[in-house]
Amino acid sequence: MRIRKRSFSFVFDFFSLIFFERSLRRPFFFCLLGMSLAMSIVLATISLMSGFDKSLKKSLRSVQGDFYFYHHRQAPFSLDSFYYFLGQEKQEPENVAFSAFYQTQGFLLPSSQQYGKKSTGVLIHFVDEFSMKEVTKREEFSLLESDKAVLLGSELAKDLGIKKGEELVLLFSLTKEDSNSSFLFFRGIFQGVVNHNLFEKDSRFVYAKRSSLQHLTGRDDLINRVSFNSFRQNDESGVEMSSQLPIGYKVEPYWSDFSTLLEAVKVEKVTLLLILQLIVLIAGMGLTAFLFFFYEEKKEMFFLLLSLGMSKRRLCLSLLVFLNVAHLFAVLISCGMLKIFNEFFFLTNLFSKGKAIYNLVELVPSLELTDYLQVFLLGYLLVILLALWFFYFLFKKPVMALMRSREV
Amino acid sequence: MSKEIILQLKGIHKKFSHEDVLKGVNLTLFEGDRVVLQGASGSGKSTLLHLMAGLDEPSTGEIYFLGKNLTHASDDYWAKLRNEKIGLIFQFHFLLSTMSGWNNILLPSRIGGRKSVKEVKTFLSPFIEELEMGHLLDKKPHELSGGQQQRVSLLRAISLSPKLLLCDEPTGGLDSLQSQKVTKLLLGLAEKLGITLVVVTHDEQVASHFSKRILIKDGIV
Repeated sequence: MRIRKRSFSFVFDFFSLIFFERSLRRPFFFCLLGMSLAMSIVLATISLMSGFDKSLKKSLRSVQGDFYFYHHRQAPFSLDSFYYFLGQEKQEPENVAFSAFYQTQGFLLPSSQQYGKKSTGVLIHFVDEFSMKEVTKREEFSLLESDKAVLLGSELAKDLGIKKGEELVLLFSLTKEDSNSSFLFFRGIFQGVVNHNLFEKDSRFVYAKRSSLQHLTGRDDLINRVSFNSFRQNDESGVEMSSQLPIGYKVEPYWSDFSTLLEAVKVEKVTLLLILQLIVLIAGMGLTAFLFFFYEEKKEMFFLLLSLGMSKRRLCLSLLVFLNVAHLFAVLISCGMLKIFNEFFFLTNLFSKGKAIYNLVELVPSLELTDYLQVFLLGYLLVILLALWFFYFLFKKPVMALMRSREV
Repeated sequence: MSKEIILQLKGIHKKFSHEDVLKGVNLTLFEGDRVVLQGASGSGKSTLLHLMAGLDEPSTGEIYFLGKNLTHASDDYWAKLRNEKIGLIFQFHFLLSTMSGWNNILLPSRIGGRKSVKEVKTFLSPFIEELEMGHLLDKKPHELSGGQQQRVSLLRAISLSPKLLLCDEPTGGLDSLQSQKVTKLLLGLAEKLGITLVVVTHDEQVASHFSKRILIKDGIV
């Protein structure tokens, strides 16, 4: 314990030596910078991968709540099926935030105001604005005031160049499972946009009131999906619920459509973390090279400390503490660099350019504590392993061998 | 009353590559001995001194310090011994350039932690006065002359009152007047503190101050 405590006292001397000696200052500075840069590059990459995962999940969650309940053939069903499921889960409908709606594919036909525009394939949602607002926490649904009101995904509205109050025509059919299936026209008034932050949703989603569908079809119970928020803590999968479901029905978590992409991102994140550690390894080699350089430059000092009674074990321990402090500096600098990278991404809006490919309109880099630990600890491990190699080199020689080349 | 044996070397051989530098050296140093090791350049006198301090390992042979066989002693043990019982002075005084004279002197106590700064300063104060170094110890090594630097390294070597003081060409870089002064200082301090003194030199003038001379020629005493 005592030997460890005393080792710290010489770490300051090593640093002051580096600070005061120009020949050491510059190599040390660049080694530290290299190490910091390497770690910040790994962190920036990981933060983008995690940010993608998080932003995508966050956006998806705000589209239709935590889970959705549906029949596997997309057929209309009675809300009683959902109530039955809730009963199996020992839940009262009053205590669960849910919204029943009808989702169908259709076409948005250009009206006279959108001259020159082609008709567009869209996914139409006839929703109950109050319950949908409660489930998704989206204020935009308040705009569905009248039966004619229509909301469009932000990208779709931008593409159409449509203005508030302009007319829209929706052409759609009810699903084939529905006996009354036929093409229906709906003339609506554009009231505003819904920004999902998901390119795919923003360019296809159309919302109208469920009551307007009721007027068109004469049926007030027409629903084929129920979105609901989780009533259990830490429940992400919905798999558990499947066992309680009526036959033919399914419950999927909000991210299930993108599960393959999310899984791929997860795997890629680990792969990249490992591959990019090579950069850290190279930077770590730089730091070890500095240690050898420091030793060659300051042979006399090491020899003096050993001849005055410092054991090799303690000298190595002091150098190890010195490396730990240097690594800590590198960690702090890399955090600063990461901040700069993220600012750069934000200012240049780099990732919005690939929104059609990556789906996300906006990507916010994100890092968990475990991501930091993985990068810093792996970097630390590499530095320590390389340092041990140096210590082995130091240990196997007698003290005098340090000075022999100087012919003392 | 017989004197205590401080250091004993038995049949010491040292090889560098394929060259025998020391060829079976036997040597005994008693408490209070003032010994000069003389020899031509390359005769092995410095190597012998380094073996005495545990800075190097003999190829064969045995080293005893205060009766204990140190032939297979660990690096930690030798380090402790160098800190507490053996003082070392080199031709190149090895003062750390970023530290003041005082901080250089206090290095062994910082390493060992056995004696406090206050204790060391109290112990050294009469010697500092005698060497007229009091006003110079706050200066950095490059602000001191060669003789003054050697005095700082002398104060550092005796700071923990060692039993054995080993000096490797302590007057090597000094002019004849400074050499005389440093040699007399060494002998005076050794006398006062009861230290066993071993000085390696090829300078006949320095050697003339010592009553006990050991000559090394081609690795043989």
